[in-house]
Amino acid sequence: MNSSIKIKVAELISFLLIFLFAYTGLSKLMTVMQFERTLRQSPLLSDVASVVARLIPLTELAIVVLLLIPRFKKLGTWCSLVLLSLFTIYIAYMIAFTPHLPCSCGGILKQLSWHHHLVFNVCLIALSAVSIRLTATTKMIDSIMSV
Amino acid sequence: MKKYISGLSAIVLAICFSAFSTSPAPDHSTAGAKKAPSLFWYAINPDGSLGSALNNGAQMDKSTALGYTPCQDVTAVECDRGYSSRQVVGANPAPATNSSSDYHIKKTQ
Repeated sequence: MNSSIKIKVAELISFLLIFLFAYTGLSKLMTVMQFERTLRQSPLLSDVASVVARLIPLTELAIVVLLLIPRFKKLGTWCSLVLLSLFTIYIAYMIAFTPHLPCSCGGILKQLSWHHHLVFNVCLIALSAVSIRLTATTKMIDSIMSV
Repeated sequence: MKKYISGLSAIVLAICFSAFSTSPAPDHSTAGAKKAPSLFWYAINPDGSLGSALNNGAQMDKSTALGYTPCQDVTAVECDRGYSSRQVVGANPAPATNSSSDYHIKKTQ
């Protein structure tokens, strides 16, 4: 794959991540009380539901800002990877122990079942990893070409 | 500015989507259901004292609490009781609560 295609693919993944985090972050903030109520039902997060209900959407929007600024794009992609991995671990826990509880996701993602959400998150983690890999190899090629 | 265009358009798209898809739809587990209060649930011991908290003391409505108890809410013997605040486990007799059926789960016999 040549360098320009790699850049375009990385840009497309970045676009998807910005859209996803902006959408879910805003949706959660717009229904923060409902989001907090759902988290209160979770055996893992019930004690810290109030803080987590605000921290998660703010973290998602902070990642959007990082992904938007070219200088911090790589950091933003790494943060996306970490946050999506944490969400995935949480989903796996919920599937294993309390699958009857509602999903505390933002926007239309709430309509997904836990299993569909797990698959969705694994795909996004893979895309984030691909983006990091592509950015790294593209930079390497660029630095070799500039010598 | 050009390098921000795709990112900014993703944000605009996300704002439009969230504006149209938020709030009217309740979450899938509660859609169409009567809104039950979110309570702290405790088992009621056979001697009438307050037993252990359900789901590690998490706050939840009755339909969710039913997933954490062997009781099926079908007979007159009370099995679990919901409170709007946390209670001291072991209190004898168990403190009274609202008489609404949303606050009580009955035992299967």
